[in-house]
Amino acid sequence: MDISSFKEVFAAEARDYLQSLNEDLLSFENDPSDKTTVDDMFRAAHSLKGMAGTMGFDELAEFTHEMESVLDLLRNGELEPSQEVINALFASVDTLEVLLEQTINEEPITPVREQIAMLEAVTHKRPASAAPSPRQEEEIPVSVELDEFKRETIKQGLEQGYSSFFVKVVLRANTVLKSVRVYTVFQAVEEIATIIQSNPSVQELEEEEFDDTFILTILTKESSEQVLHRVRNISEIEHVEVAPVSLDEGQALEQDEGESEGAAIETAAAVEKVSTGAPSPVVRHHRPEALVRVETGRLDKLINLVGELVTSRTQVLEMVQVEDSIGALDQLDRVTTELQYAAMSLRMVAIKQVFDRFPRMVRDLAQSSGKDINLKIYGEMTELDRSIVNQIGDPLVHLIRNSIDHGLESTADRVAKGKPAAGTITLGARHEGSHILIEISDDGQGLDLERIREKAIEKGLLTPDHGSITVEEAGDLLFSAGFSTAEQVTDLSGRGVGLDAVKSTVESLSGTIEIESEPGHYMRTTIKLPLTLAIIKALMVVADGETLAIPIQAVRENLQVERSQIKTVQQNDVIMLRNEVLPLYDLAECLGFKPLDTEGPLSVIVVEIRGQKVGFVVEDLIGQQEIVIKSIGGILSDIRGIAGATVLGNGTIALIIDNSTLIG
Amino acid sequence: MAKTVMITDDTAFMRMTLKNVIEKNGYTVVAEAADGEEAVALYKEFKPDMVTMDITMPKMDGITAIKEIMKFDPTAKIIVCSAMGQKPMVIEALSAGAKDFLVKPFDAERVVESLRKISS
Repeated sequence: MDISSFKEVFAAEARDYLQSLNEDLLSFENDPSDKTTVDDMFRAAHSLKGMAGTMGFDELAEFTHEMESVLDLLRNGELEPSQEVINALFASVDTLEVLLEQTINEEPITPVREQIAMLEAVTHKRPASAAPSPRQEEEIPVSVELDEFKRETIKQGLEQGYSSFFVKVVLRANTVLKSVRVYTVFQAVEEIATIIQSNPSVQELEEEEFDDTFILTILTKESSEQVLHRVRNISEIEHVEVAPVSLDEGQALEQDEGESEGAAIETAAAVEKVSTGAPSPVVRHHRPEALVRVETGRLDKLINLVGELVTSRTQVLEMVQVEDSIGALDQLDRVTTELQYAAMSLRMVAIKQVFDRFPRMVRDLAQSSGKDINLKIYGEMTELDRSIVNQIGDPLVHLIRNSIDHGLESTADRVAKGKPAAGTITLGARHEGSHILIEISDDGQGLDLERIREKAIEKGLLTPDHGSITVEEAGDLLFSAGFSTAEQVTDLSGRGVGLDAVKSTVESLSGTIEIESEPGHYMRTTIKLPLTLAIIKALMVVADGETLAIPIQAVRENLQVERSQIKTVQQNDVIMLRNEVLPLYDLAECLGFKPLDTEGPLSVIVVEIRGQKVGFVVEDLIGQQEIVIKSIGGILSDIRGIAGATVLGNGTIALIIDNSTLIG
Repeated sequence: MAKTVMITDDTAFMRMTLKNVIEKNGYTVVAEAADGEEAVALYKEFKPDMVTMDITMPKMDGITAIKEIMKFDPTAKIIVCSAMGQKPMVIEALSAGAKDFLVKPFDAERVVESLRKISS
């Protein structure tokens, strides 16, 4: 079995574990008394270590082991969860992230001696009273070797609808008549299951030649919870774990989370674990929404093919007009439409993926800026196109950093103003029509209009005699290139590059961005994005005989213009439209086609580009249509003015106009 | 309603100790039997939720009593109480239908754990 082919699965899953470690650390910091969180973290680190070890990623495995040791001490109450310890754990997760990426990208591994020393330093400060207790039950994994015959038995059982589990039972240290206790366990288990194997052997158990732990391999029709419940209700049991048996080499079974074999080997142990006497901890599964991992390339291919199928369907529908085939064609029409929506939904992911990184980021920034900050998140399950999700992260990072750096006042200032000492940042998402709205707001000082005005004058963006500005104008200024009001450049919000970059990212996603603020009270930035970039509404036009698609959200109106209305200003054609000057461009000429040379009135499409209205003269107007965007690959991918292409119902190709780069 | 328990032991001291522990933990002792025969008769009369059963007793031993009681009520919940060195008897009692076992000298916590677990 070539383990390297599991690298992608490993990487994806390892990132999940790091994310959940981050989340658990945050909740642990809030409530260090919560043992469940520590157990979860320990399990995550333990699983990660096992996975890394299996892959032969030694540096990663070793460092995870160090972190796991600290978590183990916390878990056993031998180490106080001081801020120092928690910070060290946070730093360890960061180190693991670096190690993971370096390992996966096969880059040189940065030595982590210092980080290991840091972890060792915190562990040596454990309370002297608590001597390390000789608990080593964790060292025995919840799985055993099975011989060929047993494996065959299990395989047949699974085929007949049975489940197979390893049941690890740890007896209490002072159990009397251990062998008889084992007998009661066997009795209880045999009521609901068939015991395939016992480690140590039955004879060794009867002669009490074992410590406290034994593992049964069973076949049962009951669930793992049932088995767990049954064994848990036996006296003198310290702890029970039930884990699914996985027969590796392509027959990994019981993978209710959809891992592939390589990763499942160790993670199988991260199933239910219950210490008797204590309330049973909440069993937390990683990635509740991710069931199957599919390479995005394959998904895109599927969606592309569905798009083509839809296109050919339209073609067929146009061609065939025979009476008796109408019913069948209707059905074809319905099914392909539904198929298209189903395929599109595969591209949709919850924005949670992006939002998840912010609690940790806000915590770190709050700590380093000395501000007290609450982060409220809503609508994290709101879905949008994966390609948008991948690109929206950085703009959000920037806006949140801005809120922390420029928006929220220091605690002392807030108290002086009569505001709650802790500032609140709200991050949320919701659907509105075929758009998603993402909101980032803070209850800080809002926009300082006067300072923005001064700064704009200083930067030459406004004339010196410019009067007071509105919130809207201030927003526009903030998003223009090279504007920054931060008096001191901090490591938080950087150096005045950014907000304009935020705006151009949002616009490249066909979105808009808006600022609202009440000076002294709040600032809210709202980003409005289309749900998907794969299908858009477009206005179809003709220029120099070519059919072209103009994305509808930029189109404001279309006009018929008499040639006599055209005036020339500075050698450019313009018309007056409701008392505004509208520059005119020949669309064909902009694209390097043959300019329009017809007589008579002109069709003009009015398009808004970066807040400016411009008119494009076209040869003909076809109408509105939904189109599937296909990117033009390779050396043609960077052509000015062209965003992609689409296949039309009649099989011809139409280029999609990229308004923002068409005229420069 | 509190769960009911019948205690079976031939020594009054053991019955008293057990009763003390059991009642302190919210169970009601509805009957006390001094030997196997009495245990079977009282079980039929009181239908207690749980039974503690000593092994070595006059007239009828605990294992026979367990078998008799199980014959009358296959859902009976019986905890067998043994002394050290009675391992084969304990296994026999468990095969006969006892749900759990305790080894003397009793540890109060163990008694309560056993009652709690077999009654759940």
